Amino acid sequence: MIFHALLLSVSLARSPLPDDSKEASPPASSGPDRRAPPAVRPVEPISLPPITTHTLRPGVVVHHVRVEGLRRARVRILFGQGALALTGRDSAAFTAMAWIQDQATRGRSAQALADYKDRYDLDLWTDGTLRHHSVHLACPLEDLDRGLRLMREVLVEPRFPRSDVRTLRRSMTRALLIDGPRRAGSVIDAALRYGWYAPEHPLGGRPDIRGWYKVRRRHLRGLHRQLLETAPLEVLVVADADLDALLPDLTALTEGLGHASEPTPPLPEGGPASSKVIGIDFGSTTTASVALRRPAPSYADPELPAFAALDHALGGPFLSRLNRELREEWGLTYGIDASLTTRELEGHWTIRTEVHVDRLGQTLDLIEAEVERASEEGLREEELRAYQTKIVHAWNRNLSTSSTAARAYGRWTSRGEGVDQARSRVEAVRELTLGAPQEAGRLWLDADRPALLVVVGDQERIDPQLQERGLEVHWIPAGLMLLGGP
Amino acid sequence: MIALLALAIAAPSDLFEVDATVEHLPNGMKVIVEQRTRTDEVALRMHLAVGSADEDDGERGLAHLLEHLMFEGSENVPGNAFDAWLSEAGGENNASTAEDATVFYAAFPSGALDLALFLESDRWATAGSSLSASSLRNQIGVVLRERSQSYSSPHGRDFDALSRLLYPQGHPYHVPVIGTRQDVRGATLDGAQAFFSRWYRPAHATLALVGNVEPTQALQKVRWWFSDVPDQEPMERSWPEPPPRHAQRQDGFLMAEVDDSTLHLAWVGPAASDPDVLAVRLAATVLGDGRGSRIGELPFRRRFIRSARVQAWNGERDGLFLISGSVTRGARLGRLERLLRRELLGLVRSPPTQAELDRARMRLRRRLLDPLERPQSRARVLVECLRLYGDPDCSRTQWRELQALGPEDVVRAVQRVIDEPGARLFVVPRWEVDRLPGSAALVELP
Repeated sequence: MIFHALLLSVSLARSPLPDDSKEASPPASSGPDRRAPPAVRPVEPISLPPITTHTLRPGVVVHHVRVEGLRRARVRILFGQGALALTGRDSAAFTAMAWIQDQATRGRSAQALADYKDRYDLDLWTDGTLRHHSVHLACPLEDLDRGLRLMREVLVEPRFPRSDVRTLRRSMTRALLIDGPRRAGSVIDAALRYGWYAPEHPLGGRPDIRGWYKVRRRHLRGLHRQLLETAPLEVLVVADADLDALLPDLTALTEGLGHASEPTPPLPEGGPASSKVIGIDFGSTTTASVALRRPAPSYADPELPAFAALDHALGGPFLSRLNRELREEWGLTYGIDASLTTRELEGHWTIRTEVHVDRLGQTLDLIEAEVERASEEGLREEELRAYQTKIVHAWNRNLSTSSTAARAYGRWTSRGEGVDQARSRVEAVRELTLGAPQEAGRLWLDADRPALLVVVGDQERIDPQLQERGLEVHWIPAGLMLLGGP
Repeated sequence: MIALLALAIAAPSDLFEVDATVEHLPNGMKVIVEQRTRTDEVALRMHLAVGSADEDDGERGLAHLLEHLMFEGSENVPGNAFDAWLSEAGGENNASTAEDATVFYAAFPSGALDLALFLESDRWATAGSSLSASSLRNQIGVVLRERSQSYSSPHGRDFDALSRLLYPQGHPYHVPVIGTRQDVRGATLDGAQAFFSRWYRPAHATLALVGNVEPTQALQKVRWWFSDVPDQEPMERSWPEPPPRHAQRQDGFLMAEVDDSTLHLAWVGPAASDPDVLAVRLAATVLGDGRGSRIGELPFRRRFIRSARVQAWNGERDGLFLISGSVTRGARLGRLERLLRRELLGLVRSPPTQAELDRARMRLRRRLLDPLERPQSRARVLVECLRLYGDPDCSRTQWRELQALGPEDVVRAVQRVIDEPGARLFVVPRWEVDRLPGSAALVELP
């Protein structure tokens, strides 16, 4: 409860692993020789179990991965259609359908379902996005048959309780109208989204506030029926069980479902045509939040591995230039991070932090200087090596638990990749030379590319600092920002 | 079909099985090693049985500040190289400070075991003398920002305010882990070094290594790397015995940038080593842990209730039994309180049914089993088990104890907790302050 997760200090420039590091071999009697750090055995990527793909019938594909020794089995049903196909946009009705489907079934009230899931240690949940709808199961391997039966029940016989619709409506409208505008994090999220994507882009669709007031059970039932009747589906099973043993149950699970229709295509490219600065006045608070977003390579872009190495060196959670500069050198922030989002056709890169409001200008200068330096100079050898090792180690940890395994295989199958293709991405990172991040930096971190800067805090104290830097701010009230801005 | 599947899947072996080796080093440090070869990863956990409860007046927040400083370099690891070297080897690390403990942890590929032990042992052997004024100054700024950042979120002060309210002056948990602004700002190098010398002693430490290590070799390496960390007598912790208690219920409030109002009903719960600890956790789960629990269902039945839950936390000296709920704008917290108390007393008057107990047990079983999957969380469990039960293999014991608990045990344990006066914390928007009971005073977090 009262534990505080703490960001820790970092430095790269002053302390690369020395070349004179040595192999440690404990002699029987002497103490440790601390003059140089011990040598490290290089990490090599391990082989992961392959994905076996089996078409049950047109419109229903099963991906199976056998991972030995997993305590829990994981099953995911992924429908190839989501909010866009069913409602044309990111709508309240679709979100409600996706979020409430797992709460009760025709045969079980919400309380009875919760009780049943707890009693047999079954996790079962649903999720929806613009392009997909999914149902997930995690359960003890020995109870997989029970879990699959319950999954079928939730899949085809959801109840959509009226009280849940009402509770979700209340909580969503409150989040948009009352709580969200008071939370710097929510306001920044909204500003990044609506400032980056135009209203006509699927990701820029304004919140469906009217839709939330109108949403009724019958809408959810209708959408659910439509989903079952029109969407293709893929089943992913990650478990310590043979596919042959599972096929009869998977056939029963998907009976009458899945249609040989086209899945929703990838989202189009997004991003603003020119740079802009959005400010949100939070009154007389001493904390200012800041976010800077820039375009980044898409998932398919060959520049991605090199850019991801830059991202790691600049804004990885602990080991990053930005943390070193802002936190360690200047004590301006508790932490600063960068995150890279990549989709099939577009990507963006976002830096976020919180500082004292009077140090906002200095913070922006330091961030800009670090980004510019990275774009001109690329990475140092030890920074690239650290990223390469991290990627291999991350690959090797994919089978750590049922949930890490399901996450990895889920990501790959969603993108139509097999293990070999996923592995080739690791190899692409291993093959990077110092020139590649430098090239990616020049290309993607160029100051002429459109960027979006969002600042949240005391307008009176922020404005002069931004004006001093020649930045023209478009101030938007927090409440309006949550609804998509003007 | 289903029968076929059942036949194809073997019953699991002992899910709680732990096969760890425990050793006491000559310098007093305890070491736990367990081999887990599912992946190449190794988790290292260094548990120092020292936290904010061990601070004296004038040094509130120092345990946490020192945790930050432990990454600022030691004699053979230049400033910040700890993180850089470990990261270059594919590892990651972090730390946390709580009331009773400061914990440093790392996870890395097995080929970096020597490096990780070198880094960890070097700061134990030399960090106290390597602390610098510039690092201290810088980390004071970072910690104060951490505090501001945390306190600026709408409910970011709730738990610290509750600790202040529930545990009286002189209680080891009275002052929040983050400390007071004045003491953090006024921390000195001498003070930090003195705290290090006083508490960073191997006799207070437990080191766990879990993952792709061969136990005999790993223990040999640990012995070697920590052989020059000097043996020092353990320090006596100057905690009052028994911990002080308020004689009357304490009421307080926080004014927050919120629209809805929140009520926390808190009682001092059993300490982690108390025999009632599992019964109280069971009670909290029956009462208010998720959908289907008595209090967890309230928001779906009463429109004016936004959220409601029950939590139990157990520190080494005392615990916390907490019922929290929030209401929509304009609704009265008094109405919520009556409902929450009715459910609480309902548990005493009509003990949990067998079905309720079974469900709650399974939820807790899951919380015992899940952490055993990953090396990092498994290392945490092994350390906690060794400290509390003297045996790293305690999850199974806890599960057996949970199975043996009946409704009467739950009722007795809850009754014992709520017999104490407890505390009420109201977290309200400014326009609700006038509607609070007159007994509620503003809780200051200096």
